[in-house]
Amino acid sequence: MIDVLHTDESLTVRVEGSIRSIPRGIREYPFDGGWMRRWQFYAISIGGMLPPLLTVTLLSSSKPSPDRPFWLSPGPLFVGALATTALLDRFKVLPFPRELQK
Amino acid sequence: METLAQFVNATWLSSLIGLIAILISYTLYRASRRGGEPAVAQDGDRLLGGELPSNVEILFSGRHVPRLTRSRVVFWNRGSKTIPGEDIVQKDHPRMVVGEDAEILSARVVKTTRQVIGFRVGTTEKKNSVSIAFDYLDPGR
Repeated sequence: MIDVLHTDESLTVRVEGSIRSIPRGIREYPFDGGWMRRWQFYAISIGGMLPPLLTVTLLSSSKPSPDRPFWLSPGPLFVGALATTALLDRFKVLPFPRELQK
Repeated sequence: METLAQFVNATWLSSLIGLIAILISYTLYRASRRGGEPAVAQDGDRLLGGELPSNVEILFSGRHVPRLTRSRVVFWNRGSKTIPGEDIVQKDHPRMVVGEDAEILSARVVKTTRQVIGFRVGTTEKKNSVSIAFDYLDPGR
């Protein structure tokens, strides 16, 4: 992380220049991750919750069965879905390395 | 339970799983082909200046300046391969630039992922830019 003091009216600086074998150049990303990354995170979270919720829906539409395993009941599946979301939140994509966070 | 068994045995489900597997394989293949990807993120604050009365003077190291702005710039390698410092093009050295009529008063590296990468900033011929250099940039660092 570089701290730059300058006299420009703009709050940001331009980063220019070339690195061999990288024709795409230096790409700029939003400092706080931006809405796209947040959107991606929620999409993944909902995706992670879908399979157990789908199973709950299917099971609730079927007749109750005494040989149904405990983990296939709505309670444990809901806890599992919450745990999945918490895990994804722990490993969600950050715009730049954690070591450089404030 | 019967409904679940019917759902699992459906042929369209096998096709869907196969299609998802192909998409995941292709995505992972594309991700593995990525080389080095220099990336930058930044934000800034106006420290002094702007709406101040005309009889207020701002001094930086004893020198009058019209305003004082601070920008925080994060530079890292977002790709999956190391970027060696030798790959920097000397005729178009990576640099931070502000407006033509502005001046960079100071630039310092406040954090690095690892000291050994030799990340540094340096002066250029122009007062409105500073150069960026490194010995190498690890992927994701």
